[in-house]
Amino acid sequence: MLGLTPGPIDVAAVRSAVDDPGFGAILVFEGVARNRFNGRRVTHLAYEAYEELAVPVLQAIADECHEKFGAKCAIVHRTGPVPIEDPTVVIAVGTPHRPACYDASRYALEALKARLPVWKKEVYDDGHDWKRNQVTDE
Amino acid sequence: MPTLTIRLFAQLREAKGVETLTTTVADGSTLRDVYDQLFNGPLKALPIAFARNHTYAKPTDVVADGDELAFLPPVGGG
Repeated sequence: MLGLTPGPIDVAAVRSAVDDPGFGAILVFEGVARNRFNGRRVTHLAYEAYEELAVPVLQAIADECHEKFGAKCAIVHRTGPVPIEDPTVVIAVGTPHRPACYDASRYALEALKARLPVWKKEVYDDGHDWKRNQVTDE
Repeated sequence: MPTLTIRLFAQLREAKGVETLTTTVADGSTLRDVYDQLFNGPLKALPIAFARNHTYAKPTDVVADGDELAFLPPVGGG
């Protein structure tokens, strides 16, 4: 399961997508809409995506997680307005053992933040900003 | 004179007020040339990534008639 959705993310469905009888570890990461940025109150977030390119990028990240960590990976990113406290992205990874699972989860998240053609608008009481991710080494 | 479809996102979409626009450019124009014709001021200094027909492309690639270009501002997913 790799894609975008304009509505609430079905976290249980993303989790189920990595079921495998050979896995001893599954991690589910949720990125969540937060209510403050540098002391400013955030009323909500709004995401837009270049879907035709985003889906191949998600596929590439999932393939890399498999090659590097032997992981199965499911990722769903929300688009459109997102209320505070709702998940903005859900990443589920499964591996036979836990060390690779933590590594794969972090890898998928950082790769997504660096490469996925998705844009986040942080909306405040008195305006908005398009947020640019800080890219870290993977 | 190639006619192009251009997809816009985030601050670029807001600047033009549309998600998609159509434009005709001079023969031999590169993706970067097209961007520079459409945007100026602070937007000209943004580190833009380029896509052409749904795959990443180099700013120096020359456009062809019927291309769909996308200008990708710094991403903010997650």
